[in-house]
Amino acid sequence: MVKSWEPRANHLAELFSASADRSVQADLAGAGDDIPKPIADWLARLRLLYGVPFECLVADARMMPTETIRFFFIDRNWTDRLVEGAMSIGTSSTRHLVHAAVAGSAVRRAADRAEPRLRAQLRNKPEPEDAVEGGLISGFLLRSVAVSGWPGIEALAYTDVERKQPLQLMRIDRLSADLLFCLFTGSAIPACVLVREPPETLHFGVQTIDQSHLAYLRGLGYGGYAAGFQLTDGSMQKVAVRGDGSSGVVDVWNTVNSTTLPGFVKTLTDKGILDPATTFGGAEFAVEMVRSAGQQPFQHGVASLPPAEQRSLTFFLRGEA
Amino acid sequence: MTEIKTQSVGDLGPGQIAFYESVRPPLPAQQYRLSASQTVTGLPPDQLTPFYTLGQRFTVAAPRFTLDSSAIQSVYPPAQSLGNYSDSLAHVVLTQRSLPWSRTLDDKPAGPKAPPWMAVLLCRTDELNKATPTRMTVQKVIHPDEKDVVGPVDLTLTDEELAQGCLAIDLDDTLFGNIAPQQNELQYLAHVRAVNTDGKEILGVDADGWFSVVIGNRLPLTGGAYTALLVSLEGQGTHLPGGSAVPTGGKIRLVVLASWTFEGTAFNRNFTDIMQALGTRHAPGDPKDLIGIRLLQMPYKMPTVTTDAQKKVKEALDIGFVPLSTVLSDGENTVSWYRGPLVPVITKRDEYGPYQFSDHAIRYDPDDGIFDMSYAVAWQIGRLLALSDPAFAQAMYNWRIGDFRKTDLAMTRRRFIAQMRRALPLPTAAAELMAQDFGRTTAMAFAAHDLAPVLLALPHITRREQKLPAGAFPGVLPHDALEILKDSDVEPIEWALSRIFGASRP
Repeated sequence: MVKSWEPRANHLAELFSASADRSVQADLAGAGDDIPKPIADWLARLRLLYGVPFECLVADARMMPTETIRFFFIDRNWTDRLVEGAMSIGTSSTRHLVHAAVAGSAVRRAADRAEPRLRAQLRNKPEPEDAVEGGLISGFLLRSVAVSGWPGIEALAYTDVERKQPLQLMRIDRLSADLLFCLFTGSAIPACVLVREPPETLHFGVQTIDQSHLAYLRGLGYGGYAAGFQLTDGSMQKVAVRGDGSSGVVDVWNTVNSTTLPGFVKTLTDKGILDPATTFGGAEFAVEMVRSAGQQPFQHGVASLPPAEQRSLTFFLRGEA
Repeated sequence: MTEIKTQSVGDLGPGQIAFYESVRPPLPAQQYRLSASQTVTGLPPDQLTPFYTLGQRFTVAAPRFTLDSSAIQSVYPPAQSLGNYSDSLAHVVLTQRSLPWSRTLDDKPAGPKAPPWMAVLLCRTDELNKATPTRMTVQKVIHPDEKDVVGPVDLTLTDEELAQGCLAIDLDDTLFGNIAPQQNELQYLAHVRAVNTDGKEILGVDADGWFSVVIGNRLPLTGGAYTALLVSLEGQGTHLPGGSAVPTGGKIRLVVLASWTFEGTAFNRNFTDIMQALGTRHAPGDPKDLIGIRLLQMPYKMPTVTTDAQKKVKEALDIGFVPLSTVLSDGENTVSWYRGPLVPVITKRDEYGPYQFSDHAIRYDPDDGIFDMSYAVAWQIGRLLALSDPAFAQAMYNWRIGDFRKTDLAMTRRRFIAQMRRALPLPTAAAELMAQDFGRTTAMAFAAHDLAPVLLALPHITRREQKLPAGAFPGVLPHDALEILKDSDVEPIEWALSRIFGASRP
């Protein structure tokens, strides 16, 4: 290099414009800035607050008492500062500072691009087609025994109350045994957030209310009650247990046939749900004892909590085959 | 209340499940003999009537003492899982729709209402008293060696069946009497379902077709480890509770077709009840203050807000700031605002650009004299996280060095162009060309080849290359040497100067 002494200001100006030129050229080339993918992915993880100490997220314990849910938005300025701090390591000269200054916006754009694709990448799934880059990130923190008792708990968010426009899930994690942290991104604020019991296979069981076991009554395809349809009045049937109930063994015979309890046969016949000509058998018992997973919607701008819902079922009954 | 699709009875549409009482196999599992006979009629009466017969033995086989793992579609609760199952009955889904009715409890031909021969027994693992399904021959199951163990009775078996291996478990008679279903209950605990999921996963049921389901009769009420057993009740009909030969005081030996374990969590509240309780959660001591569902803010009590200072503090707390005590770098103790990334309001992204030090990001309100440390903390955390990850640090270093090289190259080209412009008065078009393509090769190519036609157009000028063979004239480079020069990293002017002036340069 032909050395020449020149004023520092000139040198810096030249350095600055040469660096800027390079990144401007890269922009015009359309390849997207030449930020290497591992760096962009690492910064996307940082943007989604992986590894950030919990005291920095929630400064005071009184903000998150037990059995509460707290909704929030992500302050993009805060996460941008995180990224800038990460880019500042190893700087030892003005040259580094100049580079950080000119590469800053390119780095920010690369992290914006990698952010909505990170979750699909971590789970080895294909990238989402309509990922929103640099959009509004909203989320919630749920501290509850529901999180520790149901490890597969799920969450969904929608921008409309009819639940047609979903938001993209960016992160769902348990920060501790009973604390669920969830982030969504999209074009608008979430109007409805659903927290769901983990999806199980169609299974059978009871509802335990105050130590007694009950089953929701469902129609059997007779008398105007569609099969599988939980009765609108939410009536429930007591399920008998053997002995004092501590062993949990269901007294199936009495639950079905007892007249004093009353059992399924009597209750359903009295309500006109069971056709007196058919016998109550294994299929009917299975339909009555079906349990589906529950979900709880939270709606934006609504004063009181909407009631919990059961996930929908579609089935009907036949006799012997 | 629930979202429901009403349907008419008919063939199964997509996304529908049909429940059947039972599917009984037309031929139960037994040995059969098929015989055919034929007579010929219409012959003259004095001829003997021929009569032909043929017999064929065949056996309809069905699982009896063992069950192939492919026969089980799924189990619930899932094997080895941990969760709250206190309200659920365990069940097994089998791929063969007629399997639970393929045999009978008493090994006699099945009547139309015979109960299924399988049941799911659920035991707490500690109730089993260390009994586990062990491998033994069917012979040992039917005729146990131990005195007080009772096995299946009244079964007729061939010798090869007796020599088969199977899994069996010995349960205490009291445990069995408590948990086993009665004979009249068995009919309710098995059914068949036909599913047409149309390829979609509904409620985890994602396999099409016919399945039989055997449901258990016990709820895992308390937490802890549980073992679920799919047992064969063939020959045990009289041993079931309410039967005529209930064993007492010893053990009962059951053939185990399948078993799995799971763990129930310790409490038994409903998911939906817990979530609904969020709506009524109130601050301790103040039933009117509902704190269950809120935006993430610092809770505060400010009964009156009159002064400006109070208004400011209220606004700050409402938008998510938290006052924290701070020790400044000069030792002063003060209070400053902090707000994490989780804020109750939508913020606008600013373009204040990369800060060079964390202190640059501290914000100060001169009216109140209070600092806002949020972004400084963010910057510092980012830096610490990057420092703690050597792979990221290495990648950053490499990327930066690569960028520096590119910048150096850009600067070098610029300087070269500037010097070339000073040294050679170039026509504008050529200067533009050089300005667009910073390649050193272009500059050299221009100097070597493009100037030449210009010079050739002038009279009496012949290119040196044309005049002389490739020789050792200084400054005249043969083509391949030129290529080498282009490929090397040497500055052309440096090289030219060194060639002209030699080692001692002014």
